[in-house]
Amino acid sequence: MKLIDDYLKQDDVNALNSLHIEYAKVHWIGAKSNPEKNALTKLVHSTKSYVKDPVLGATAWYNVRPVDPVWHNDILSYCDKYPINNLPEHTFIYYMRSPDSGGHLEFGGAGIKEDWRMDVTVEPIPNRLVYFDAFMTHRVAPYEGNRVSIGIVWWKITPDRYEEQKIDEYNVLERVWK
Amino acid sequence: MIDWNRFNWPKIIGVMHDIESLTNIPQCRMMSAHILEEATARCSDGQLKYVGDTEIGCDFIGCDGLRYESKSTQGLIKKKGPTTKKITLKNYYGKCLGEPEQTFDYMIAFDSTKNTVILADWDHCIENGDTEDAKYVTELDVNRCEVIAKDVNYVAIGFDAQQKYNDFVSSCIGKIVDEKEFVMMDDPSAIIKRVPLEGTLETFMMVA
Repeated sequence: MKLIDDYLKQDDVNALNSLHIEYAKVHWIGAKSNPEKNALTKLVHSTKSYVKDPVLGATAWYNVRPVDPVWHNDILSYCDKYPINNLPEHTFIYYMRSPDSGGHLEFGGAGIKEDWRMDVTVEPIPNRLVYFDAFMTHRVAPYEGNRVSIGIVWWKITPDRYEEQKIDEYNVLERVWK
Repeated sequence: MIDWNRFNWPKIIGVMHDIESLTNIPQCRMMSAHILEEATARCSDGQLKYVGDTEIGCDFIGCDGLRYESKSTQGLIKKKGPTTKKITLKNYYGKCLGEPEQTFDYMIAFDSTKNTVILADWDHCIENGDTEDAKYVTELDVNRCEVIAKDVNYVAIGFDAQQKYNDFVSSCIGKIVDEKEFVMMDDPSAIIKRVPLEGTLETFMMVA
């Protein structure tokens, strides 16, 4: 897991904050699509340098007030089964708003008797980027206030819950998880 | 040639203001346009015949054999700049197919704020035309338009068109035995959130 604080320049933060897009949807950003389309595509493209293998494109989505923050990994949010030979490397989280209290990112899972979790948690600090192994099960701790983050996963192939996506396209897709 | 001075403009503009409240009800906009067009034909001293009920993209046939289309907009003639507000020439209600086929020779455009009426020919409408989503719109150069009625001192009847429409709807339905008023359940099982498709983050945070 890696944390980068003050990730974007202030101009890019401002542009991201004033962006006029479909927040309730998933944004497909092809690896060879135009990074300058909007502030979100610029952010997403900037994270590609942390990925080693060639990729087809990324899904990016906004997390605003999750109804029921449960343990999950983002591969299985997009795929019915693991793309065994084409697993994505990381889940990226970029924080835009921090809540009044709580809302840390926790790593762990559902145990037989009770949930287990790692000691390490990530505080949601605006303009912080964190990335970790896409396999890692995580969840958001309960919080009060407004917490906004953007999730990003770079895919080697199109996640199986979607129609085939192209490397040079930017598309707005439906969310395929609850 | 049509003699625009023979039109009873005070009556036509009066009707336009009498039915203004209908333009605030989306399902009544077509009806208010129809009423204005009927009024225009009937106040034309026999020079225009209303054909909007049978023709597409044309509201009148003139005694000169030419086709006329009527449009009315609040604040049509802008305070600044030589052009009018955008006027929808054709709404394709889906995929815009670009420049429409010619369906009229002249457009009669009403400005309900200035109580002024201008005339523009088809070529003028198309010259400044452009696609906008599913619509083909135009902006007229006011200096090139013929002003056929200006700052009209209108004569309105002064009735409540919205009430008349509501009365008409009620009269069509008639009396319902044991009609009940709508009452929301104390604990509605479904709360529908209106999530806008596109917007700012702040708007989304309010409704998400």
